[in-house]
Amino acid sequence: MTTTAAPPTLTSRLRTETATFDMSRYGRLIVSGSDAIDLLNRLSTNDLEQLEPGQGMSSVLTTNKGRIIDLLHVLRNSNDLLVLTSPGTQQRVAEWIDFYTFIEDVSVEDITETTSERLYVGGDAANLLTASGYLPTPLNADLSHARPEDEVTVIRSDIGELPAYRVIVPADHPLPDFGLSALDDDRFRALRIEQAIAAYPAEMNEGRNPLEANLKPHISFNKGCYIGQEVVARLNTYDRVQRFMCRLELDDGLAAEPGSSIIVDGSEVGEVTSSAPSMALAFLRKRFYQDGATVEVESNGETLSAIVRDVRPPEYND
Amino acid sequence: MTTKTMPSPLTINISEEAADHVRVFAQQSGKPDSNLRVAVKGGGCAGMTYVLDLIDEPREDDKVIEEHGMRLFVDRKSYIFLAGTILEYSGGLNGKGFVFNNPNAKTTCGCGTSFSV
Repeated sequence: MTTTAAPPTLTSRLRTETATFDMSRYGRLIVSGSDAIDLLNRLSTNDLEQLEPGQGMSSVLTTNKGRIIDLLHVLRNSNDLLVLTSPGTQQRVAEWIDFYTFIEDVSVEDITETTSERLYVGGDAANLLTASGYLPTPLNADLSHARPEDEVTVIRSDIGELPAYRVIVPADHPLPDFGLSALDDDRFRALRIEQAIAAYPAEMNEGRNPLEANLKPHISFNKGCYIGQEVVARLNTYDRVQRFMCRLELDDGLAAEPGSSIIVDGSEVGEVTSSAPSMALAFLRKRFYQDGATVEVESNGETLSAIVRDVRPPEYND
Repeated sequence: MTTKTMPSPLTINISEEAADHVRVFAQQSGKPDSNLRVAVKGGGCAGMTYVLDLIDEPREDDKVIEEHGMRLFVDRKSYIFLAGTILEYSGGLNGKGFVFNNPNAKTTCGCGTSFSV
């Protein structure tokens, strides 16, 4: 299921160059208490019990219908968990955890406003952070993290194939930009479309299940029960997922608006969810999900031609 | 004509058979004088999972219910989702063991151990 297209532009550049992106508006929670991991493990898809201090794991918070509330990045510190959420979802996530806390020893602190965060992405990110003292030694594993000082957390959080680090500091602590170019929201969206990364709420929301949003790598199918497990397991076991996220490639510079319909033989077979010049992320019905296939996209009264790219991770080959 | 006594929706009931089985289990566990914690915890396929546990003393805010010689301890938050529940015992070869007949449960998972409200 590899893509045969030429490497997209931003990804190519960032293999050698490095850029930054302000992630301060992404949610950050500290979840503490002796039952914190056990509770989060019962509420989300991945096997968080496996985490050792210094390790992290992505896990999908799901409803009892197996729909996505958010993709969490859960990082285990020695005494608590740092939970990274999508922008603006931290309150919903904190309330969800609180709702399901009964007699457990668990408390949630929202540190989004009292901290700031910057992403450093690209081939030289590790060297820059190491040379500046933010990183003792480069982190090899995705979602591993280090706390070189008490107030600084550095997390390896790759953007697809590109090495990337998230640095979290107190809000009044200036983070260096090293003179790097800063990605704005449009360019960061273009990057995540190139790397086929789902985002909230465009691709991840309570209308979608994690399997169709290509989040299977973040699901454990043998860890036992969690909220929504029965639905997710049934969809996977009986191959009942009806659509998958794909990337669309359009002619130079053309853009398909989010919400645009994907048409094959006059029938609507999918929907565009995120868009950038010359490409988009979309959900496409399984029957029409074929790498290299040509589809039509109806956007703003125009009909555009697009090529489908199968961007499902290797876990979908099982 | 027989009149069936309906449980009050503002309490939790335990059937005599269920109480007997709790006592047998407590004896076998070496805790003959223990009481029963009835609770809910987050998780399970449907959202919330029933919890039964043998304990000695209630927590500070526990609601204490006594029936058929058995003391049930229920924390306040669990009680919101369990009020009106009858804890019964389904025995025999095809029995399910302890069964929560919970009027608050809108759906239950396939194995019946978790529910949603």
